[in-house]
Amino acid sequence: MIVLTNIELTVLMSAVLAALMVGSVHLRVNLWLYGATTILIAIATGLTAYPNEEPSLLLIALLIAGLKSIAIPLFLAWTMDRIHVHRDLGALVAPPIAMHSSILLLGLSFLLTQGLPTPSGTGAGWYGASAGISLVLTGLLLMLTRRLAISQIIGFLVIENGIYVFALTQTRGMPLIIEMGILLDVLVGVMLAGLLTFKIQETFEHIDIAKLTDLKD
Amino acid sequence: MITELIHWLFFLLSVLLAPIVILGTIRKTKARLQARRGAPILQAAFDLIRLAQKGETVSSTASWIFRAASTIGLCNVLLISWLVPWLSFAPWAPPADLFLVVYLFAMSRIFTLLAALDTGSAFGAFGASREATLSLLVEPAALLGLVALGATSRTSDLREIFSFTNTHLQMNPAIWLLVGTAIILSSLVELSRMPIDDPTTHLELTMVHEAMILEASGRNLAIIEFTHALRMSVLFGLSVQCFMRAAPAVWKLPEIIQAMITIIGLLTIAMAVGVFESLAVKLQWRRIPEFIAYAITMSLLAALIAVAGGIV
Amino acid sequence: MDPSLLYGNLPIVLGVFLIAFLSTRKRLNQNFLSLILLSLACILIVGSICSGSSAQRWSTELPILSGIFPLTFLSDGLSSLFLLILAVVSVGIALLSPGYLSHRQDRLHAGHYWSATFIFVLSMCAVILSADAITFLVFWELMSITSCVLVATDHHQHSVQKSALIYLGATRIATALLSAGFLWMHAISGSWCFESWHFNAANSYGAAVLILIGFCIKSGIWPFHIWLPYAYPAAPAPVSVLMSGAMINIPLYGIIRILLCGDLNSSEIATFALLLGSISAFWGILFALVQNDIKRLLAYSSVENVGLILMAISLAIKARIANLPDICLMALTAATFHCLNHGVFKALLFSSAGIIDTQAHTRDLRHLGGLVRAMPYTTACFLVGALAACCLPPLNGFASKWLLFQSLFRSIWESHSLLDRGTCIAAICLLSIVSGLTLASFTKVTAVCFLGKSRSNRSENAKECRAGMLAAQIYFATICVVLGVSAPYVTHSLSRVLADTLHLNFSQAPTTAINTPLMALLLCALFSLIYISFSSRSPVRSYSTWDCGFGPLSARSQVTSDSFAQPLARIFSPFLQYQTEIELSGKDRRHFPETINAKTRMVSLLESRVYLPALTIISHLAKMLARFQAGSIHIYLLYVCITLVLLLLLSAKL
Repeated sequence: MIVLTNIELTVLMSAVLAALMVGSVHLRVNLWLYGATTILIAIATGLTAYPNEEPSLLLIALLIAGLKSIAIPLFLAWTMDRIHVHRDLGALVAPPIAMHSSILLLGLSFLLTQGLPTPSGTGAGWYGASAGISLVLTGLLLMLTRRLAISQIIGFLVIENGIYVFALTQTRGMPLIIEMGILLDVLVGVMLAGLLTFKIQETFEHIDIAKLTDLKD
Repeated sequence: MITELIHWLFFLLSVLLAPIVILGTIRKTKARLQARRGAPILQAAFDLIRLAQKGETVSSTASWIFRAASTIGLCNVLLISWLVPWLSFAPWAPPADLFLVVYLFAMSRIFTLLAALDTGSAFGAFGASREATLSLLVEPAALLGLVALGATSRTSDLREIFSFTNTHLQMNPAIWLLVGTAIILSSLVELSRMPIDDPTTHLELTMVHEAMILEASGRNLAIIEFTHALRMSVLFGLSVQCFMRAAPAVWKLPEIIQAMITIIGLLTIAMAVGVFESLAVKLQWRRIPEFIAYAITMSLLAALIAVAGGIV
Repeated sequence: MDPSLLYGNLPIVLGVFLIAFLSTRKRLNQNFLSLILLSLACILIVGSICSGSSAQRWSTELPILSGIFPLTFLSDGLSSLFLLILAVVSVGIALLSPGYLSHRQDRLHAGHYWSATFIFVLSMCAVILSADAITFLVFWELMSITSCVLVATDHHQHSVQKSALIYLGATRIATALLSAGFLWMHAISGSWCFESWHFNAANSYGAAVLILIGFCIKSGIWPFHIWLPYAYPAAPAPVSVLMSGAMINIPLYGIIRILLCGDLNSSEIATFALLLGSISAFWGILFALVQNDIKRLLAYSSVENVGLILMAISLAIKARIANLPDICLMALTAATFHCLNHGVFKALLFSSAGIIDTQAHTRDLRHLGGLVRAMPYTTACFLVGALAACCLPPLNGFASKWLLFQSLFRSIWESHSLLDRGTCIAAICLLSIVSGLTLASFTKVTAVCFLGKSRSNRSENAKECRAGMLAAQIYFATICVVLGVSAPYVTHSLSRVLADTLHLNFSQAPTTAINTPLMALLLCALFSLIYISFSSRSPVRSYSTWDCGFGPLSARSQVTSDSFAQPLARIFSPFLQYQTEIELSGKDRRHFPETINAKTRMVSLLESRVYLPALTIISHLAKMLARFQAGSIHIYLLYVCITLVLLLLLSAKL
């Protein structure tokens, strides 16, 4: 019987939500689920603040909730409306199969992280690490099985979430300034990517990255 | 002895009434949402009685299988309803092995398919072909979820899994929630309800269940309709039981209150299905696997938890 | 010469003469021969049941082999179990053969058929009873060759020749691998006797793999199942009954006898076998779904069932290694019980298929339909067989599949490694997909063949078969029902026998927790209750099937076997290489097409991508080798000379 702390439960739930994301090709559903994933991660951050007595983590939690789980999805939804895409076509494997494999990847990361050394004094043990790794793998899978540039951005965001969860659960919390920097980086990156997508759409009349191979010569 | 008798009495009552009330509730909810008054809750019972009294028209192509199939289906589902713990109380029954239950469902399915193909109607055959496909996709989901429950509590007897003395699963809300969701999602497919099939239309090319029973009439149709409704209440009841057990507080409550929670749960699910059916549109045939995938995902997650040995 | 030796060999010599005499006759009294086979089988049944789990060992000398080594035989619980399966199937053959052969008089040589059948059945008995490798191989070869002769009974047809050749090739490879494995084990243990072979050291694993693959080829496990869908349809019905019902179990018996009883101690090999078994279960039934020939469909379903049995056996091996005697016994019971069940229901289905072939003169599902009116008894029997093949309660297939499910299910929590648990859950998941596919395939074949309207004149003019053939079907169907209903008792006695044979100490016999007799009784009671209470109430009117008001439906508007399987075939199209091309033509093609051409194509991935290239390479190599065969006697003499010199040099060095 495995006993989980609240933090571990929250991050594992966010990993499950991210895995569900792979099953739908509706971009709006993806964004919703991404928002939910990130809110859960923000809650986990907030929970970490208690045992470590670092009130700065609360601020970061608020920032994550505000920027990553509300602002970014809203911005991407706005971009989607502007370029009139609502549904990805999917690539490589069918979305249902991809979703099942992402669940299997969750199991796999569970097996893999068992061997990792557990740092003491952090809020979560290797279950948290497995959630982080699973998020990264899910993000990669999402990017692999999607065609549109917008989906690639979402996949990238999921990977970023995974890295953040891994750092959150395996360290005693990073300095506030670094966290803020990363957050800003992500925000600016997404803004740029969104605008670029908009530009790609204007220039090529599609944002299908499968057709970007035309650019190779 | 007395309690056993009371259990039998209530069990028989719920086998007769639950299908009709659930069907009535779904229809009533839908009517209300469409701003109609709707038929009375017990309308399904009146329909069934009227159908049973009507004469029957049988296709000249059909053989004995066509008329025997509905009865065999009803026998099977009655047996299932006796075995499966879809109510919080139950009269005595032999062990309800989960593999047996799955295969009993398969038994009633194969006869439905054969009856649909027996008349030589293209509609029935299309429905049968689709039903075979859907059941193939949905069966692993339901089975895997139940296996996850069974593996955690180390028994394959559904009654033992769902008994309130089962300590393995008492503090395990995650697995109950996941399996409950998996069962409700797969039962929507199994019962040909909304996102898969529209039970109210008779557009032959899109429908699954209605196409299969297109040739049935009179008492045959009455039996089929009742069987279908009973199957629905068993499946919905099973998921209600799962959701109930997710709350550790429910485990300690007296039996009467558990029974009341069951009834409320059944009605809630019926209303939720009614609301969902008013909002949702039927999925394109090719998109249905994407819907079923979510049921399988829930079961897979439950299986992961079972492999890990349960999570608190 | 020792008189006692001659005395002992007399029956064998007589038998050879008798069979030689038999095979020259084209017309003979078939009822008499079938009576002999029947009595032989009955003696076998009584003998194997009476001998139970007591072990007996004896040896004989054959004149040809006298002085080299004796043939040793061993009869114990396990072998009497497989003898029982063989005997049960043989009874059906005895009932089926005369009628079937009289329908095929012009094409089949009855003398050949009967003599080969006798040798086939007897050699199978001997294989099951043999206690050492040489005896085993001798009779194994006899069995393989006679079965090949039997497949080629109708050898005037080109397709039959091809099938027999493919089958012959498969048996040759199997025997080669087996011989290699046996020699290897002889080198390790210094004995030919199976009892002194132990596979618990790493140096014997290679031999174990060779033996496993040899048996897998013979029983038609993926990816060696290629011969099966050729051989079964080509063979006459009684032969395919015998092959699928009895012969296919013998390699599986070999795996149990040699590898499991020889304490195979490699969990990797067991996992490999489990993988092979699960792939063949899935692959077999998937291909069965899209077949149009009844016998081919049944052949692919055999691949599935053999896969299930192999899964059970490898699970038993795994459990034995992990020291879980309860699960080991349960899985082994599942394996042997499924051998019996599969033997019976597949025999039933193959005899029905053969009967359809004789009555409707086609096995093609595209030309069949509506046979229920002309052949009601055959339909009922086939339905029982189909339900048993779908493993539905309370028929016999269910009991053994339930045991397999249970043994997988129990290993989830009994095994300690997470990977093993995951494997078991995945196997359960796969089994449920397999049972869904089985349901679809057997619904398809039953419905398209027997229900609806007939799709051609041939099936319209069909009549119910003769009493003998009907008796065979009813016999098999009865056994299906009896075994299914009495499953708890059968399981109990089976596991007793197996536990005694394997010296397993188990805490409790895995009796089925399911009370199948009660279940069957309840279903019957409920059925009659509902049927009676509803039957006489209302008038029944007969009318045509709903035709949307366009006038009577033709048989062509019905579903075909292809269109029924199409949605499933689409889902699994990566495995099946299933493609549909639809071509509309005519004026204003999109909305009012004049002609619609739909073409479906299915390529077997293994055959086109693996076996065909491999064959091409082999034939290429063979052509290169053929250069050495110049045809000139001088060059051959040169070869002899060179070889001689080389050998001399070698021996001089040693």
